[in-house]
Amino acid sequence: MIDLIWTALLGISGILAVIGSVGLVRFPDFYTRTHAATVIGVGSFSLALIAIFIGSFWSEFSVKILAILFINLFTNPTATHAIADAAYRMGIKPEGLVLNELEKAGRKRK
Amino acid sequence: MIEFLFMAAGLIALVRAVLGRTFADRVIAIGAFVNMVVILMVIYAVNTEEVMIIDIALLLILLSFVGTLSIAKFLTPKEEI
Repeated sequence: MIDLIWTALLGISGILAVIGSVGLVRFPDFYTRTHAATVIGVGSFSLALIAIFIGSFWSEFSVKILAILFINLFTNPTATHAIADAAYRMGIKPEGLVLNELEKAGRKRK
Repeated sequence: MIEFLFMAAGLIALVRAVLGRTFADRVIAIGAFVNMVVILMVIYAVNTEEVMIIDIALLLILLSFVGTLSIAKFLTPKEEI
């Protein structure tokens, strides 16, 4: 039963990783690629670490696996937000941009 | 068997790091690649019962975060910080 649960979680995580990386290659734009990178970084990563945590339940790895999981849950969206903000200020435009609400709100682009 | 999915995902993410049109694309793709490497290192550490590898994985994910933040600060134009 436990084997079935963690194998299924690890399989879902691998499929999410492949989906996210294919999206990273095929999306047209930087701002849509951040979505695919977040599918890899939060979805696939957290599911894989939860699966490994269940699979090796109470050993010397468990606390460290939980540490990696929670550190990544806090840092990965922060890093993606920071790099997207820097890309906006650097002047990378979204493709097919019709209306720019940020520019109306006073956030100027270089 | 499932590890090959993670290896394939990391290699496909590296394709974007090579092709990427802007600098920020490469940063995002290398972040995804580092995530895949950390998953593979944790699986290897649990399979072979080596405790040291998982410490290296923890260090690697922290270094990836600090590196991405410093590149983001480097990319921002000077007058807007």
